Amino acid sequence: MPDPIEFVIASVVSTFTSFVCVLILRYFLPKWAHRFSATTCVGAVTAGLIAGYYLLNFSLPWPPGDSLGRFLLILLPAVVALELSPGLFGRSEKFIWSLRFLLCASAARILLHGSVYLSDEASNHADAWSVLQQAGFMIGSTALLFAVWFSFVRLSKKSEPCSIVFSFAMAIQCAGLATMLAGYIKGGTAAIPFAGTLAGTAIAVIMKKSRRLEFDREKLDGVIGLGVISLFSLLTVGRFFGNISSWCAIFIFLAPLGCFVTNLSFVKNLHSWQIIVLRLILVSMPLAAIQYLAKQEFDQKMGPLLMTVSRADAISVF
Amino acid sequence: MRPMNSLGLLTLMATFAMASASSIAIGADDYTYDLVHSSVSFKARHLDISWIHGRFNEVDGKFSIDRQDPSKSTFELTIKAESVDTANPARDEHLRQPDYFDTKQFPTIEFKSTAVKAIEGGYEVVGDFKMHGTTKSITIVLMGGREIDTKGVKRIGLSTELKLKRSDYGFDPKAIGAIGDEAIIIIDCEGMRK
Repeated sequence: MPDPIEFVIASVVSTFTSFVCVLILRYFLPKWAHRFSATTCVGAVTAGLIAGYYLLNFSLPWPPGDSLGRFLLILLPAVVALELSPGLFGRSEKFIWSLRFLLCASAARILLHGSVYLSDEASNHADAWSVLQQAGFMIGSTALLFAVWFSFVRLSKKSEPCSIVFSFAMAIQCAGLATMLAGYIKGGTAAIPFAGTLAGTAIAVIMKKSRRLEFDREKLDGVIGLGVISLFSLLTVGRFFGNISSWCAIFIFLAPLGCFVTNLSFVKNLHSWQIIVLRLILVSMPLAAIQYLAKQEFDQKMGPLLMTVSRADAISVF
Repeated sequence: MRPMNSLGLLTLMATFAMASASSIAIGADDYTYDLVHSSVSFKARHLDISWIHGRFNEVDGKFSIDRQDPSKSTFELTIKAESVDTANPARDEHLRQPDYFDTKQFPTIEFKSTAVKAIEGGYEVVGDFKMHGTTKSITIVLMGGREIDTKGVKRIGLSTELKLKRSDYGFDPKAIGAIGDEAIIIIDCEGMRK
C-alpha cells in the first residue's frame, strides 16, 4: 500500500545523502584529485539511491525477473560503472562515448527481455512484435537515447550544468507519478530516490561551486548520463509494462529539452541563476501539464472504484 | 549360434517400441479442455473483511487419463493471465500490471503434472505450477473423472480447489495488504474426446 509519508522520507533522505556525500568528498579531495570530481558525484548519486531504496524497503530478486529489476540490477550498475571509469582510469573521450553508445543500444533490449513484445511468432501473443518492429524499436530507441545523452552532455559543457540535472530530477519525478497514477505503484515508487538524489547532488554542486568553472562542468557529466538512462528506463517500464500512454512517455522524456532554449541569442547572456530559473520554468511547464492530464485520467478510470477509499490508499485498494 | 546382426537387432527394438506405444494408446484416453463448460476462478480476501471474486476467461489444457495405470496419466493447464476478469475493467487493468500479474512479462500461468495417483473419487496430482515467473511443485486433489457419452462425444469432469500464497510466487509484498496474500483458485473443467 503506498505510504506518502514513506515516499517523502525516502526522497528527503536520498537528497540529503547525496548532498552530504558531495560536500564531504569535496572537502576530502585535495586539489590534485580534482580529476576524480566526476567520480565523486556519481558515487554520491549511488549512495543516495541505496539510502532511498533501503528506506522504501525495495525488494528485488536475483536474477531479476521483471523489467524494473533488470533496470535496477543490470542497467543501472552498468551506467554507474561506466560513469565512474573516466574519473578512475582516465579513458579517452572517444572510448567513453563508444561505451555509452553500446549501453544505449542495449538498454531497450535489456528492459524488454523475455517480455511478450520480443516473444517469437510461435507464441502467437497478440502483443508480440514482428522482427521488423523489434528492429525498428531497437534502432529508434538507441538513436533517440544516444542523441539526447550526447546533446545534454554537450550543453552542460557550454552552459550551466546543474539546471540540467534538476530538469532530469523533475522529469523522473513526473515519470514516477504518471506511472503510479496509471496503476503501477512499484514502478512509480522506483523514481522517488532518483529524483531526490539527482536534486541533492545538483544542490551540493551549486553550493560548492569551484572557482574553476571547468571543474563544475565536467563533474556532472556522469550524473547527466545517469539521469538520461534512468528517465528512459523508468518510462520504458511504465509504458510497456505499466499503463502510461506513448504520448505521455515521449513528452516526459523530451521535456528536459526545454533547457536548450537558453541557448537562443536573446537569453544567452543571462546570469547563471537566471538560466537555472528559466530552464526550470520551461521544463516544469510541460511536466505540470502532463501530470494534470495523468491525474484526470486516474480520476476518470479509477475514480468510480475509489469512492469510499481514503486518498492515501487510493491507488492500491480496488 | 550365429550372433544377431544389426538389422535383426533394429527390427527387434522397433517391434518392442511399437508394442509399448500401442499399449499406452490403449490404456490412456486423451481429452481436450472444453472452454465452454469449464471455468478457472479465484477469490482473495479484501481488507480481511470480504472476498473479491474473479475468473480467467482464456484457458487451454489437455489431459490424458490412464484408468489401468493412473500413474501414467498427465494433466496440463495453461491460463492466459491477461484474461483476468473481476467484472470491473479498471480493476482488471490494474491486475494486469506488474504489481500483480505482470502479464506483459509473464503472459501465462501454467500447471504440468509430474506424478499422478488414483484416490477415492479422483486423483492426487503432483505438478509444477508456474505463476509470475516462479515455478513451485504443488499437490492438487482432482475430484471426478467419471466419463459419460453425449452425442458421440465422451466427456469427463474434474474439479479442484487450491490455496496459494502470492508472496510465494514473487508478487510484490507491498501490493499485499488490501488484498490478502492467500488466494483460492477454483478449477472446474470438462474434458472431451471423440
